[in-house]
Amino acid sequence: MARRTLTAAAPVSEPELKAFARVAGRLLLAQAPRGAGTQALRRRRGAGLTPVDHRDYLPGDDLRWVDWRQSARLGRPIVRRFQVETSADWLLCVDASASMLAGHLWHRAREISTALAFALLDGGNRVALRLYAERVTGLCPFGRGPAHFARVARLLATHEPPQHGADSVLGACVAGISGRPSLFVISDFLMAEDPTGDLGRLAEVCGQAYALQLRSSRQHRLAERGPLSLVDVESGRRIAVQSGLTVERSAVAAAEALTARLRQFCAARKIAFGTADAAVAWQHILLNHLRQKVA
Amino acid sequence: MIAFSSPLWLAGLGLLPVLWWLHRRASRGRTLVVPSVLLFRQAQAAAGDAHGVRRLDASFWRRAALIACFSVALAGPGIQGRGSKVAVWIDDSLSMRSQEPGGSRMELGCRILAQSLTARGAVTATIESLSEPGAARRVTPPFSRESVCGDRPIGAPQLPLVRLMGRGVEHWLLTDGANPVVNAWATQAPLSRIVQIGKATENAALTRLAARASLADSTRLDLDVEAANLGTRVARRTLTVTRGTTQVSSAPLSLNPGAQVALRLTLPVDGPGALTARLDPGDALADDDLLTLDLSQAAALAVRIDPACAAPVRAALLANPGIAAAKAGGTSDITVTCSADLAPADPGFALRRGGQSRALDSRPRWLDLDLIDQMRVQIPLDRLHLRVWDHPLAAHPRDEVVLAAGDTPLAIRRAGFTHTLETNLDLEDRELAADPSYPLLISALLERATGRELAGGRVDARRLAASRIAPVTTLAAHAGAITAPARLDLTPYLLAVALLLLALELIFAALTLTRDWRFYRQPS
Repeated sequence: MARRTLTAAAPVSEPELKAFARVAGRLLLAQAPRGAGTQALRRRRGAGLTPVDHRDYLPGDDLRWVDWRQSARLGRPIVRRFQVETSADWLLCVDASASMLAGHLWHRAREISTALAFALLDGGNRVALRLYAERVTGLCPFGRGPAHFARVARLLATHEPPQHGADSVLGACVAGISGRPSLFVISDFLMAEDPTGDLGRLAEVCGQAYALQLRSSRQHRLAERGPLSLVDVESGRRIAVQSGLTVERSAVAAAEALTARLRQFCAARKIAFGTADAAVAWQHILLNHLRQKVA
Repeated sequence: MIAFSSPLWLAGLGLLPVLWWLHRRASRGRTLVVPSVLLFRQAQAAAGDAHGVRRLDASFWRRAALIACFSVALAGPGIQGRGSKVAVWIDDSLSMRSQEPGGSRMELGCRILAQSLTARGAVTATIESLSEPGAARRVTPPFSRESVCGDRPIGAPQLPLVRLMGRGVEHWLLTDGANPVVNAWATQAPLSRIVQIGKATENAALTRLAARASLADSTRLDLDVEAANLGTRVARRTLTVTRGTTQVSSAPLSLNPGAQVALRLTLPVDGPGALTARLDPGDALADDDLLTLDLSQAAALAVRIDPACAAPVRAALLANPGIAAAKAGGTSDITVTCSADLAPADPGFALRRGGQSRALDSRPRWLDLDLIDQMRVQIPLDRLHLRVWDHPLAAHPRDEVVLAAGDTPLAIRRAGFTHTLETNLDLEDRELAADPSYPLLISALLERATGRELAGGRVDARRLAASRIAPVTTLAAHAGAITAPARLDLTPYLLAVALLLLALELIFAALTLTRDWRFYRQPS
């Protein structure tokens, strides 16, 4: 991959991206979808089938894979197993609604998306990016290579969520998906509707799904004390609360409940789910999330 | 009862409405934009009536109690103990009516007394009058100028005996220190507090206005007018004498300090209205710049004499300068009858006679005079050769016997009749008539019949030293030490409560900050 094509518009510096790609490459490939009896390896251009190890012959195995030399040496039929060059299509769905402006969520989501796209593209995958609010507000179709990363990075760098309004509807990303790409959703999942519905529909049309929930203390911290009229930045709904530590604790509990519900839903749908505080560096967020999945 | 030593600090309670307003203002909901209200839906139910009925939280009551405690504590509250009873002696002399800046001495003094009694925390105060020692009046809090003094009469001081002043109460004195007699008494009396009021010193006063029938001309009156300067500087006044609406005299006066002048005037007996003398311009004490005299008593008494009366009786009556024979056909003030039969309804002086005249068998004496006055009267009843007619005088129960010899009445003032006196003395006795005291005896009996002084023939109005208004001395040094007030000072307790509340407020603030710090410090 020609590094010179990296755009200066990327929210993450090039050395950071390279360092992350080296570490995250193996983690991403370890989780890449592959067929039975294959091992995930980095795809090399022009590379063919490469034997990896052997095993005993089982009925049904193709006789072309019998290693006659080993069979003669061991006195029983042995077949070869091969490395399979794998590549995948990755769809990055990033929440770009107004709620992501709180607590640098959008900034962190942009960093994570950029780094993830770089690592995936560096691994030879095709990557598409969809920024969504109440609809898809930013779109970068599937592509691969440095030039495509430049498009992805430019879109992420130039896109800004609206200051208010624009409810987040994850289901808006469902349209137009084909080929069951791998899915990576980055969002705060603070939606008027239950996010599990859209997430479930999205996971159905994708091969493997990842969901990363970004959280921030700003989501439940109230800057003022006393009775307040809280206005939802997206829907504009108002509720009256008596601000205080109890209220904030209640909000934290509600956030924890949402996370638990998402985690339970994702576990049932085999969606890799993780949550992270936006105050944490993006490298830690991504590596912890990928390492957790590998473990 | 709770009293405050510095009640101005109670104005701090005015901060309570401000605090209420601040809390009320703070309790009004402000709009805050949040990423999602979904997280606060549970808190919304807890907020309940956040935009309904505004209830003030506990912090308001805590802070209100803090302010109230501090304000009241700084005001110096105290509970007055029992037993703080005060007897206030008020000098009612004329000088207490002197005008000072802010009012009369009596008004100013009573105002100070009311404040002092309140500050003293007296549970009761007995208001005693130096002019009327028996007219005590008890007042209870709240004390005011009106309740302490009210409308007080003016009178010369009749000082109570020092040894009879109760020791169980505090004795206070309100005076201006202008009367040396009161001052001397104050130095001896067990007084705890002396309220001495008044600084004015200049006063010129009319001290006497007298009139009597002229001895030379029964149709005129001789007047005596006396004025004095009781101040410390030369007083220049105009003395004006009027009768009714007619000015009789007007003369400028220049009185040196302590000087006294007397003017003698004459005016006709007949004339309407009372005689008035006035000094102009007025000074601090206006009451003594005016004297009024009723001249109706100054004219000679018109007496109609019964022709049956003996010549000595007639001569003795007409010799009195205060008596004039009534003119024929004219009106008379009294009738002197000399008869054995006297109708009871006839007013006058009745000389009853009848039967035989005999000498008295016991010493006669005036029953309407006490012993000292008996001695003062210049009629030697013991030496007079008094005889009495056999015709007895019957005294009814309501009649007043004015002269008697033992149990035998000699002169009776009949009840229910004016100017009626009966006597059965033999006033026609020649030996008695020859005595120099005979006219005086006739005059004394007639005075008792008319109730009017005839021998002097003078009416007057006078003032003595009561017009001195300059304080003679400062009496405060003679006041005894006031015992420590039996008062429970609540200030330390309230301050302790206030500090406790303050500490509580600080603890609450620290706890809130700590909780917030711990909460916000941990990552979500």
